[in-house]
Amino acid sequence: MSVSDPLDNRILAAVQSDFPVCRRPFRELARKLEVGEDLLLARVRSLREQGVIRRFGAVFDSRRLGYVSTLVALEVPNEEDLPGVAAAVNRYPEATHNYQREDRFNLWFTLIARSRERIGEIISRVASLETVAGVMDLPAEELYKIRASFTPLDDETGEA
Amino acid sequence: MSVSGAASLSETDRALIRILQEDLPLAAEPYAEIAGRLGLTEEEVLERVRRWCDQGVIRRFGASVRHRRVGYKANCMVVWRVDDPLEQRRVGQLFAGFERVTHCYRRPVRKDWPYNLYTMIHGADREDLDRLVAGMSEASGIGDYRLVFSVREWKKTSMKYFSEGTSNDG
Repeated sequence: MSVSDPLDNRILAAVQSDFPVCRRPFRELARKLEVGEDLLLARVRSLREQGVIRRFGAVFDSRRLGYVSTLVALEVPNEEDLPGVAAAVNRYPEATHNYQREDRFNLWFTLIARSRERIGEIISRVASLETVAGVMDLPAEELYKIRASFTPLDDETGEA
Repeated sequence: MSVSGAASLSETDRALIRILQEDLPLAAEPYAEIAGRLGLTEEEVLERVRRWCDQGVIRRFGASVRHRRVGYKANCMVVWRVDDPLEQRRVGQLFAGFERVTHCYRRPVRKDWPYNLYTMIHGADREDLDRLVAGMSEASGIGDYRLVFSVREWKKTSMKYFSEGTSNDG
């Protein structure tokens, strides 16, 4: 399904970034959108309940909180082994995004952890699975862009 | 990058971060509700949130939307080979300027994997993505690249900072 209501679309465009930090943020936003505060709140609650809004809150910069991150690629030669390897990765709360991809390296996941040591530990445990033939640890060395808003679009494709 | 390391965060700061990374109360006075839970004043909560937004500790504040539900059904990781170190930044910044490139990083090369620029791109369908990538290649002059499509999402979560201590990694 997709969103087609014009007011909902305007709301979605407005609430994805720079949510007001003040006592009555919805009232302030409602003024900009020229709707009532109660109507805005009701629409936002409804979009949240429908799951169009996945979460409403802050996205933190992991590095500023003292965390480190990386992107890891695994080579799993037999496709039937992928669910098991994916599950082994997913057990770690540090693994935030995990995608099966069409490539020799066919499982790609992001890790955000408190230390480089912890990241190394997780990678070596996953790489030691018999069904995993290869591993690449690909920490970002330079960042040119993390999600500018283009409207409306999800953000959390994986900050690592 | 040293504006506010984890070391300078108090227990109260961490408790507030744990709440802000969940769902903000969808109520007329959400910050007052949070303050009540933490035993802080509303102004103390607002002051911290403003400061973290200003410092970039909070990268973005607002709603995360499921993009598949608002029209962008295809996304792809495209990796590019840019050998010349002087070119890497130029091309990285050029790609960053594309509206539908949401993430752009430089990462190390590995054995049999010469690609070092990573872009995440979004589009309506695969044809749309192919066109976008062709345009990026033409604009940058980089011809050695690879589209790495995702075929299944096994996990997609928001990181929960200061709460991963209960990790099940035995």
